[in-house]
Amino acid sequence: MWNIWRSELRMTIRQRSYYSFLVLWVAVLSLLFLVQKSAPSLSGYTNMTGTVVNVALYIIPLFMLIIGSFSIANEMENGQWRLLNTYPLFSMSYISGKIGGQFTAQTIVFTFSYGISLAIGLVSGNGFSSEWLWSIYFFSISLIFFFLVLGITLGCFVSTRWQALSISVIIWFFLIMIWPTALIGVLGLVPYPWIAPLMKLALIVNPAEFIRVSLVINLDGGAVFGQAYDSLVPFLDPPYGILNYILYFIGFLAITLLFSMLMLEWRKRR
Amino acid sequence: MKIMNYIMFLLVLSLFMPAVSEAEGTLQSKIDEAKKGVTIEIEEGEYEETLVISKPIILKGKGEVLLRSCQAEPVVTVSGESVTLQNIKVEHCGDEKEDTAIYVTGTNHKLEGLAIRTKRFGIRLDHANGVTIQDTEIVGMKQGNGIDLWESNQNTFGNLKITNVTDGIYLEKSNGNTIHRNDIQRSRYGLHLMFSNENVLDENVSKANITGTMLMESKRTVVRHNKFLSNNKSVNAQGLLIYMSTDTEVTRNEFISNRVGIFIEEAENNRIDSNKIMDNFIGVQFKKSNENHVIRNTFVGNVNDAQAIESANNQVNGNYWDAASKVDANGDGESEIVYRADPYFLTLTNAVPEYQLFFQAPGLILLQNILKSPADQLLTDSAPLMNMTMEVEKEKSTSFSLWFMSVGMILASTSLFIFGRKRR
Repeated sequence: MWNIWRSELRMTIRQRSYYSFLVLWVAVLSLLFLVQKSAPSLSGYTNMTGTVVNVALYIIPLFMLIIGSFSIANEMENGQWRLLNTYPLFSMSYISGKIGGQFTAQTIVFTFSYGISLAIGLVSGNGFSSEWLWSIYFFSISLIFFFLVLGITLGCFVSTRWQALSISVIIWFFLIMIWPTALIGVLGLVPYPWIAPLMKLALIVNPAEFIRVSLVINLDGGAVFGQAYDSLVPFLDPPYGILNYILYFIGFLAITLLFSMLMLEWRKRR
Repeated sequence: MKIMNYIMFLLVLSLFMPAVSEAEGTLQSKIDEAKKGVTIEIEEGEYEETLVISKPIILKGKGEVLLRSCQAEPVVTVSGESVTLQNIKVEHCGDEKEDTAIYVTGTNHKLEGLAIRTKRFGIRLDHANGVTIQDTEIVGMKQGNGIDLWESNQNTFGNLKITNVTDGIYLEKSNGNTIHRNDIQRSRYGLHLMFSNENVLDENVSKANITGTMLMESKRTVVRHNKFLSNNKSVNAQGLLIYMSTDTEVTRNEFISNRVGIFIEEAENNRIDSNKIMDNFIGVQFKKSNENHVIRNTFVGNVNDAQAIESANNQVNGNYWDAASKVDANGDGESEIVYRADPYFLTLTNAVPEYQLFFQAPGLILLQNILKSPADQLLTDSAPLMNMTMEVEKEKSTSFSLWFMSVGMILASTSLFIFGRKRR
């Protein structure tokens, strides 16, 4: 597993396209930080926070899905995976190595860009609240993690990079862009008392929503979700929130690992 | 003999015992004996008794004076006229529904420098007029009001610090009272006016309550220079709730970090002028309210600026909106681009409250752009201002810690870069 981890990290870091992400994050983040200059206030959940969160939600999951699924689909396509299979290597350590390596690489580039953008923001004379910055940072890192894992699982299912790309975009579009529309459409068909439990279920199913809701609650905005989620809010509010967050993280990882492992094992046998 | 001595000692001791309780009773007897207008100074100490004062005297604590009682009657009952209480701590430890620390009726009393602890009511004013209460602290157990007025007029409340009660100051059928420079925190409602007219609320701070201030069926209330902060912990929280009230003047207040800054429900002819409405989830929300004026306010950092349901006929003009696109072609300080607030989210969640989970979801913004609400449901500012009407200061961390964070992030990731690349 550690070998895969290391080789994945080294391969990703040595790719030239990896540095294009650096440019991308720096560009996006420093623009977001520069925009703060016109915002008179920045603490807690404000419209500016909403904008930053939404931009992150648009862009991070899409790229992470693509990167994650490509990292496996690529090796499937060029036969490297078959070669690896000639060694006594468990699917489990292959996948976790992949996740670990990619996550480390992406976190490094994101952290680097975040630091640079923050410096750019500071040089241009902006002020920030550090609590706010950390919340946004951990929010983005969580997004990177969850969608990388999802992408890697997807990579285990597809056979070509082209498939990986199109399914990544479909998943992104479904989970991010039309999620409320789809839910409102579907929930319009079910009896009214079912709506509340189904909404809670949907919250758990979609990691993007889960992370977003946790962030809003963390920034003291839990009340905005209304009476229906009164019981849910303390559940996600610190200190218990962190515990539940970790539990969710483990549960999510376990399920995706299980699926991708089964898929790879099935492929091996073919 | 030794036993006899011992018994004698006990008897002598028991003779002194009632003397102690008699000493406790003297406070009331001192009051009973006192002539009108005299000042009674209470020696430092704890007094376990209830007082009834019905003539114009001044009762003044010297040093730390604590009056304490767990009886059904109030610790201090004030009636008649011109009674003054000064520098006294009052504690009511009873837990019955009507238990009250200080009960006031009559006219022109003055209560100042008190510290009140109560499980139920702090101070109750019943048919009391012209009473002044100031420089006082009230701490409750969230089971009764800090100050409770019933048909009491022309009273003044200043510099009070009230925490952890049901309603900080509750007025029912009480008119013409002045509530000035009070600080109310962690309670249900900060100030609560019911069927009370012509009251003035000014320079108060109402923070971390469920509702900062509620005006219900009250007329001609003046609300100015108050601060309504962080009233956001409850799903029904708001800074100021104007419910079925008319002719309210809300000027130069600050509404910061509330769930809803100002909520106007079934109310008419109110004027919201020159307020700072900042960092709320919803700045101003109208429900079934018409003929209200919202002018010259500064809306900054609110997640949703304004929303209106069944409230098409309000005058919302000449406000500053940080979210608006602004172009001033003729230099009159007003933007030529009309600003519209879309109530789509509110209409959606009104039908199914569970959908509130979509608050600010990226996909919902998309949906909102596709399905625009009909024009008559929009809240429209036809002449948004180019500049803010109120000063807005920015909260930030020291730049040293931010630089530290920035450099730390760069260094940590660079070292990992090198580590990742070098690894053979």
